[in-house]
Amino acid sequence: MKSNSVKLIATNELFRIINNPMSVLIIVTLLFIVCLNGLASGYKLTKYEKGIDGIGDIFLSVGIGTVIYNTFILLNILSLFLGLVTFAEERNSGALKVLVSKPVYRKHILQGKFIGISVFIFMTVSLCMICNVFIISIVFRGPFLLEDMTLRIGSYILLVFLNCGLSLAVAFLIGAVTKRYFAALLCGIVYLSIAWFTQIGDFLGLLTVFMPASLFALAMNPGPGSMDLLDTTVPFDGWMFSSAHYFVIIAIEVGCVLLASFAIYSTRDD
Amino acid sequence: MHNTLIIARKELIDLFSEPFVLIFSLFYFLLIFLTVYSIDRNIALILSMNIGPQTFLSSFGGMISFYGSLTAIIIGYSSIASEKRESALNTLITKPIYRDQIITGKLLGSTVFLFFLIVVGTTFFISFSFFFYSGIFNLIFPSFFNNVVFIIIMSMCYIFIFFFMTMLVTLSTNNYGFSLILNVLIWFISQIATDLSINGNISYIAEFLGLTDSHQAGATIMGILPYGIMSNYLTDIGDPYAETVNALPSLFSILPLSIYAAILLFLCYISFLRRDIV
Repeated sequence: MKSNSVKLIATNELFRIINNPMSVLIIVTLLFIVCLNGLASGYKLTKYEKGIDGIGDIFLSVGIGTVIYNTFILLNILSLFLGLVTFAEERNSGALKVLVSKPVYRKHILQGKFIGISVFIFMTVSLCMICNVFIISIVFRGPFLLEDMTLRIGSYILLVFLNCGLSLAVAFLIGAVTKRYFAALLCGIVYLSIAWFTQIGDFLGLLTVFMPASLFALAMNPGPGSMDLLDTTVPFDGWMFSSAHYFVIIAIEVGCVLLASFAIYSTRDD
Repeated sequence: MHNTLIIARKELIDLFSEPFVLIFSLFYFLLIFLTVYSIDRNIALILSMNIGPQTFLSSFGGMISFYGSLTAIIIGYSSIASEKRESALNTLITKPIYRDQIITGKLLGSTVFLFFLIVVGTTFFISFSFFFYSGIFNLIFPSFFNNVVFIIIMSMCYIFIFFFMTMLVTLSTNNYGFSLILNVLIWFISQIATDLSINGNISYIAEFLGLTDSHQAGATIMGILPYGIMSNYLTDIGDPYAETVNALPSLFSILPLSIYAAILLFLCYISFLRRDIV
């Protein structure tokens, strides 16, 4: 019964999000950025390859690396606002009352929504990366080592997916705390500002490591020195060994924030 | 004119009493505090290179323009969406008041509030600077003060672009949540459009097509986009090797920003005058 209701809610949520104009807008923007990058890579990477030696396969470090940060933030924005739209807005408009009146636990409602949106985010990230790799392979050349590239791109997709899951969990927490949609949107913008648009995280001392921007940077380049995920001079297993615990930290953060939102929403009158 | 001033006064009172606008304004002041605090990282550079007020002026300009533009989005959205949502705007347009008086009054009230925020923000910046860096800031304050007005004028042009854009988008869409999200998205994309992922790639494509050199193409794009214009202006002010500081914006800097703001203001008027308010 539990898995059936969660699955039904997740499936419904997935199809609703696909038709959401904001999703369409951000995906079109993402595809524009990756396609533009792909098209420019034919000329750009040829110039790079002639002038520079010893920096590994520029297919990843330059070709893919140019767009990863901005697409990453756009995906976080998408996750956060999708979470606010599907939860906070529905609470505000009363649409969620229909679902709450059914014999479904509230936590199953949130679980279903979270899974549905997460699947959408995963599909979007994968689509963007596949498009990027595909276009660069056509206009420039393929990567030196296909298996190595697959592992690195797959790790990046997992990192983005986890970080977007954190943004989504924060959106659910905001939606659980406040019923007012405008207040929820403002809280979301403040969260984005703190997490991504400003350097507030730099002033938190040791707590900085738990900020999404820091976690992303540390997971991509765990250091010391250059151990960047997209730098093929660094062995993949060396990078993975150094950054695995950051993935675990992100996953734990997602779990904690989600549990908090479940607990708070369960006590709310709707 | 009398009706316009009444509406402007009402708008100002509404903004001061809207809790979320006030909370976001407090968040803006917090960002000002952190901006001043982070100048500390550059103090060693200032002391070792014997530089004037460039660092303070460029930090001030960045804080006012970039964080101020995000705050302007919230203010612009609140100004229109809250009244549309509560159908107060429908009531207002049934009164014997011309529509252009309504939109002029709202714009005037919101502009005064924005200007108030900037003045308070400037005061906080100067106060915090005296508090944290009294020795250095005392020496450079005359030069800072002589140039701060130009930075405020330039920043206001930049902020008004996003303010009018927000009002235009909110007037044009019926989904309030979507309009705020769209505004934040446009704000973010306007910034990333100047970096390698968009500007850089377009420049390389232009060079490949034989149109121009990639550096020239990149510089042209930076000179067209609002964020690029503002960045170039602040970079010139913050030049540590400049012998004197002159924040007076060139015509090529302030004119494009003013034109963008004027076009968006015109579109706001057209949208409000010709659309049915739902």
